[in-house]
Amino acid sequence: MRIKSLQLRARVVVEGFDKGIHRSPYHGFSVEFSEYRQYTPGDDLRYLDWHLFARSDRYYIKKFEDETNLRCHLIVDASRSMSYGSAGVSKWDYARTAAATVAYFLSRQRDAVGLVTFEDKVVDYVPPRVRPGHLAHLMALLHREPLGHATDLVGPLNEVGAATPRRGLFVVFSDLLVPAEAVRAAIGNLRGAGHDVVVFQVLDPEEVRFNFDTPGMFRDAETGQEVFIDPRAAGGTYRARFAAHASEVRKACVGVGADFEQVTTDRPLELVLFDLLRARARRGRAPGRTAAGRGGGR
Amino acid sequence: MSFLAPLFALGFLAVAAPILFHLIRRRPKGTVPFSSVMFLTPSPPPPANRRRLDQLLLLLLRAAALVLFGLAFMRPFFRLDAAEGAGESGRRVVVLIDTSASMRRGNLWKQAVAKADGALAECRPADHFAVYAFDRTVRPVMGFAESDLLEPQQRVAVARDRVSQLKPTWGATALDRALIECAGAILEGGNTATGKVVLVSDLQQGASLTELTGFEWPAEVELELRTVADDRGNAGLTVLTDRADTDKGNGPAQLRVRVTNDAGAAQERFKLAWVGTTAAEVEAYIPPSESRVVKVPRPAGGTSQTLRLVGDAHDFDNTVCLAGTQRREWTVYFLGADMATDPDGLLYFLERTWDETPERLVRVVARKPDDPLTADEVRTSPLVVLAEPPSADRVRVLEKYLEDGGTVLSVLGTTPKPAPLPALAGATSKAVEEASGNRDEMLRDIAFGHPLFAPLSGPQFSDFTKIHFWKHRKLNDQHLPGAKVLAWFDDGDPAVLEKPTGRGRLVLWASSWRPADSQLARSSKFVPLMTALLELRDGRVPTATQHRIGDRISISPSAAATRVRKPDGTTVTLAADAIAFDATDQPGEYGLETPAGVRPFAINLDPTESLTAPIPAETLEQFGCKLVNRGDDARRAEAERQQQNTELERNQSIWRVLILVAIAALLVETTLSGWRTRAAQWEVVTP
Repeated sequence: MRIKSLQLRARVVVEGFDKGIHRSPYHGFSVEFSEYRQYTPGDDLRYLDWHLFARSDRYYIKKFEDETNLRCHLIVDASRSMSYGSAGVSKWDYARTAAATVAYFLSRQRDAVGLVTFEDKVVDYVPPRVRPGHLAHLMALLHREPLGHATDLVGPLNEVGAATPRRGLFVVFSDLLVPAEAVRAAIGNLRGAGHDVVVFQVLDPEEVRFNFDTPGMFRDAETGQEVFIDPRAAGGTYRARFAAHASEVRKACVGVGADFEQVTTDRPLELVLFDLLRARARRGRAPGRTAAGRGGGR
Repeated sequence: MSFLAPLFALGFLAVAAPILFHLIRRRPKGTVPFSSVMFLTPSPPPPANRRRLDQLLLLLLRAAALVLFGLAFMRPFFRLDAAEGAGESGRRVVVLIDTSASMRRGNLWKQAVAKADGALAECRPADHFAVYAFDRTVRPVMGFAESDLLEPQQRVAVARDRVSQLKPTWGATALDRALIECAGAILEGGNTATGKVVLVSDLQQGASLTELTGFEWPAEVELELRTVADDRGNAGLTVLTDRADTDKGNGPAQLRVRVTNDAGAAQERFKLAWVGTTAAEVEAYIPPSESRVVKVPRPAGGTSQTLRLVGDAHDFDNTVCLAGTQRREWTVYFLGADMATDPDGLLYFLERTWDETPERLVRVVARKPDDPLTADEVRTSPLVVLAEPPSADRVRVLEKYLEDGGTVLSVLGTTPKPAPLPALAGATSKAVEEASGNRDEMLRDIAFGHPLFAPLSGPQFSDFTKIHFWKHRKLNDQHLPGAKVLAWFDDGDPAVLEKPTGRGRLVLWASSWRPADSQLARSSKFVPLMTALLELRDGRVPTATQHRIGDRISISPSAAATRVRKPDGTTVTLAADAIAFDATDQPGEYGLETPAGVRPFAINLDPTESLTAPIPAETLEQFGCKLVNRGDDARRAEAERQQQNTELERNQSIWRVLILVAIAALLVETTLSGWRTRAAQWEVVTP
């Protein structure tokens, strides 16, 4: 995290990653004819096959196979809880670097990459696009510091899901410090809409281990609430409850068909990309162009 | 170590603040930011018994800084031994207690003892103190010498014991003498002696202050008044004269007494009653602050009587005693041929010399030269006047008379031819010649020390120049060997001679009181001289029978008094050669026991004791007394000590060191605290 530029940071990660997987730089796709269908009132007249009408005096609608690139939404939690970092790297830094890495990686494949940052609502929404400057725009948005005072997973994801009728890939970076039911609902909705969802629960190592030893006032990063905590007394309970929550979250995500990875900020970023690809490969829908040439399958 | 402002020690309470903060503020000052506290269970505050001091060194440093600041503000200093002793040296304190009769009023004496005890208790151990008591005299109860011999702890106890044994006397209040003596006692301590007289008294108006006018009150001596008072007024009774007024016709003798009433008295009506008689009481109306003379009919009889004033709140001065009178009857023999009716003779004047008084009756018995005269007749006579040379029989009688202690006055009259002296007392037969008579003679070189002339020794009485002697006889040593010349004529001839014979004496006058010889009989000196002759045998009879407490009662050795009986029944045995009786320390009737019987005399209270209204303190200041209020010396000593302490503190300036040390402690505390805070933050970030 010593590299200040997010884009450069992402490129360093991706190039390191490339060296490991020896991925082919081939890219390309086309719009291929699929079938004719009888015209019914209400269909868009743009897709009416006038040549066939001229020949057969019948109205047919020409349908094509959707053969676009992968449409990937990077959904990054920008709530204040993400600003916590015990070892100099905050969860936000880690998450946005990871998001930038994925964005860079996909944009190099000419996949459409969009960005959603959210707190208790959507803060920034950039639809997936493939065009020059788009990546820089994303990087600029990721440079903002988190300001949100609350985290709501369901609302923003539903909002994004509703705005994305086409199926795509949703990569969620969040600490998921919300009830597991909310995670289940939010991810479930995306999965219900047909999207592939990969969830990275970004955590600080101290959140997991809770190795404090000095009693003190622990201030909630979002609500500002202060509670007196004696780590020697409260550490065990915390770890148990946190582990239970993480487990529930994992179950919720896996239960609705999403891929779930828990990463801590001390984990190398390359492994995050690797985890993503592995998750995609597990489902046979790697974000990289496969031999079938088909991106997000049905 | 001492402190200039010890109240700043209250600042030490501030030490409790950091301790309390340490104990109460269990929660650390800094907060630990955390992503979410949703999984954290707030820890309960630690129980009181588990509260402990975490940052002991910091706490100690803070407490030390506070204590040092407190100490610095207390302005500490070390008291030097020399300085310690300087403020404590040498005050000489005299506690002077009034024991006069007026202190017998109400509970004044209890108040006085309490105040004296208080004054003694306030004496510092380094003080030298003495206790004096006074009434009309001053007497040390515990002198400086005795006090200095005792341990400081014992002094007060002994002095209190002595004071508790004191009792008010009946004496008058000689406050002036007492103050002067006490001031002198203080100054006896040396040139550097300073001191204080603590006067415990009722400061009554009757106290004598006149001697203070001639006394320069020393500047080193202060006077502190601790007065006792009784609000009830006092009335007093004084006999103006012990001689009853008998000039008012045939009524009973009236005794004049003065009744005084204090300004604050509530009582105005009094009664005067004779104790032990049925005589009617006399009412007297005396408004407050006035005095009136009341005439009281004196009961008949020559015995001693007591008059009491009824109606006064204080009894100590309500009684006067009147000694009974004892009338003495004397017979003076005149041996000569003079006729009692002859105004040119001796007898004419002699018979008229002594008036009859209640105390004395003198009869003059004239015997012609041919009349018989026996020794028994003249044996008790105080005086035999010999106007002519006696016969041989009479000489024998007179010799015997002289041996028994009689007084023979031989008056040498004009004779046709020189004649010898009467053959008495060893007189020679040498003829006595008449003086030339060319000029008048006067007396000179009179022996006023002799009892004959002593009554006239006063400067207002000793002028004999108006008595001229026209004729006198010339005497010399050969006429009466061994005689003492008591007076001389101008021309050098002896005028009056005396020669003791046996227990008596022969007095020879070289002239006479006949108008042809001198002016003596018509001068004011004649009666005193003749009375003195009369008293040569038995001594002077005291005419005054009223005395005051402490008066010295003269006793004639010739009276041969043996004892004095006092009013309380006790007797005082007199020495054989006693000429006075001093122990008149209680009022009432005294009895002087003599072979001739008991001669009574009365001792009464000094009337000034009845004037019990208090003297304003300003009066004493007018006499130069340096008055101080109670506690002034303590305040002054405290001020001096404070000033001394201030100087010591200023010189030592320990507070600067303390402030520097406190600042150093704070710096160390700040550094340590900062270091620990940073260390703690680092621990929080990277546990």
